[in-house]
Amino acid sequence: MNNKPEISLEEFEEIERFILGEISSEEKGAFEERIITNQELRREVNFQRSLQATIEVDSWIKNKENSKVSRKLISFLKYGIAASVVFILGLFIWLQPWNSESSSGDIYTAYFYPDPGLPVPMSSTDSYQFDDGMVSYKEEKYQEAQDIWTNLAQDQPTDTLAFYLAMAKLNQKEFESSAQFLDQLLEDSNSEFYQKALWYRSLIYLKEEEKESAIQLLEKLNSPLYKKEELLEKLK
Amino acid sequence: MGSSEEYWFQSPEKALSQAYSMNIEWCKSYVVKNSGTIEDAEDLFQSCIHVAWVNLKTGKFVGSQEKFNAYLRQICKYKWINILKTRKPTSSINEDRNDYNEGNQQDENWEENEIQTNLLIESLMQLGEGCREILSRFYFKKSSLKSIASSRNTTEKSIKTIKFRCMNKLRKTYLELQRKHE
Repeated sequence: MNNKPEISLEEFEEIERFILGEISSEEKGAFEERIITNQELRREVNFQRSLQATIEVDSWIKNKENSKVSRKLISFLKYGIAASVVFILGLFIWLQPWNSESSSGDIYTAYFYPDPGLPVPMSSTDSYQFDDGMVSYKEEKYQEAQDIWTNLAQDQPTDTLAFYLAMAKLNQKEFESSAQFLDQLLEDSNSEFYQKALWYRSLIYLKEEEKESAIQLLEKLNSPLYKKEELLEKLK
Repeated sequence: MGSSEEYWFQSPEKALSQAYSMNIEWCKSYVVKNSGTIEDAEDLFQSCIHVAWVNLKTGKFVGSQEKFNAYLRQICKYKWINILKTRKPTSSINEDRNDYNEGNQQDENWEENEIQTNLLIESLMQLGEGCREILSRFYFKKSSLKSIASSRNTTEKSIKTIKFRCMNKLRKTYLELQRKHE
C-alpha cells in the first residue's frame, strides 16, 4: 500500500461516510465511479476499511475477555463474598430496630433486586430475537436488551416483552417508563406477569415516596417469591 | 461488495461472536489433534479471525457466512502449520499440508496477509487507551458521537475532532511501521 502520508479531515470524512453507508444512493454511485478511476482513492478506502476492521476485532476480543473475567468474578461473588455480605447485612438489619424515619426510597434500595430473566435455549429459531435480547439482559447490557425488545414489541407486543422491557428500564433507573409497562400488566390479573408486576410496581411507588399506593399493591400480592409480609410490616 | 451477502456482517459484534461460536470447537479439535493445546487454539483463533475479518471488510474475501467460516478455517490451518514449523520441525500434521488451499476461491497471498495484519495490530497497540476507547465505541459499538460526547462531558464536535486525530495517528503509525518493514 503506497498511501500518501497525510489525509485531510474532509477526505477522511467523505471516505468514512461511504464505508459506513451514510451517503445517499446518488452520492454512493458517484463515489464508486471515482473509486474505479482513481487508484489512490481506491487504496485509501481499503486502507481505512482495514483500520476499522482491526478496531472491530480488537474491541471484540477485549469484550470477550472482559465478559470471561466478569463471569468468573460473578460466580466467585455469587458463592463467596455475596454469602458473607448477605450474612453481615442480615445480622445488621436484625440487630437494628427498623428506623421508622427511613425514607421509602431507602426501602426500595433494600428490597430491589433484578429479575433473573428467562432461560435462553442453546438453539431456537422462532424466538431468536427475543432470546438475543435475553442474552444481553443477563449480561447486564440492559440498553442493548431494551433496543432489541423495543423493535420486537412494535410488531408483536406481548406480556413477556412488556415485563422484560419494564425490567430493562428499571435496571437503568428509568422508573417512570418502567412503571408504564408494569401498569399495562396490572390491568389484567390473569397475566402470568401480574404478580411480578405487583411487586416491582410497588417498589417503584416506594421510590417515588408514594407509600399508600405501594401498600395497596402489596396487599394484592400473592406470591411466595417476594417478601411481602416483611415489607408491609415495615411500611405500616 | 453491495449484494445482499454483505448484510450478514453489518453488525461486527454479532458477526464476530457468531464466527467464534460456529468455529471455535472445530479450531480446538484441529489444534489438539495436531500437537497443540486448547490455549494454542484460542490464540490461533484470535489471529485467524483478524486476517479473515480484514479481508472480508476490504473485499479480498466475498461470500456468505457459510463460505466465510470455511475461509476462516483455511486461514487457521495455514497459520497453525506455520506455527508448528517454527516450533518443532518434526511436529506432525494429521491432514494434508496443502488442504488449506482446497476450495479456496480467492486469490490469496497468505504471507502478505499475515504481514499486513501483524502491522495493523501493532499500530493499534501503539495508540493510547483514550483513542482506542473512542474508536471502539464509534466503530464497534456503533455509539453515536453525541452519546460518546455526553459520557465524556464534552461536545460532539470535540469528539469528532478527537476521532479524526486518533484515526490519523493510527494511519500514520501503520505507514511508518510498513516503511520500516520494507
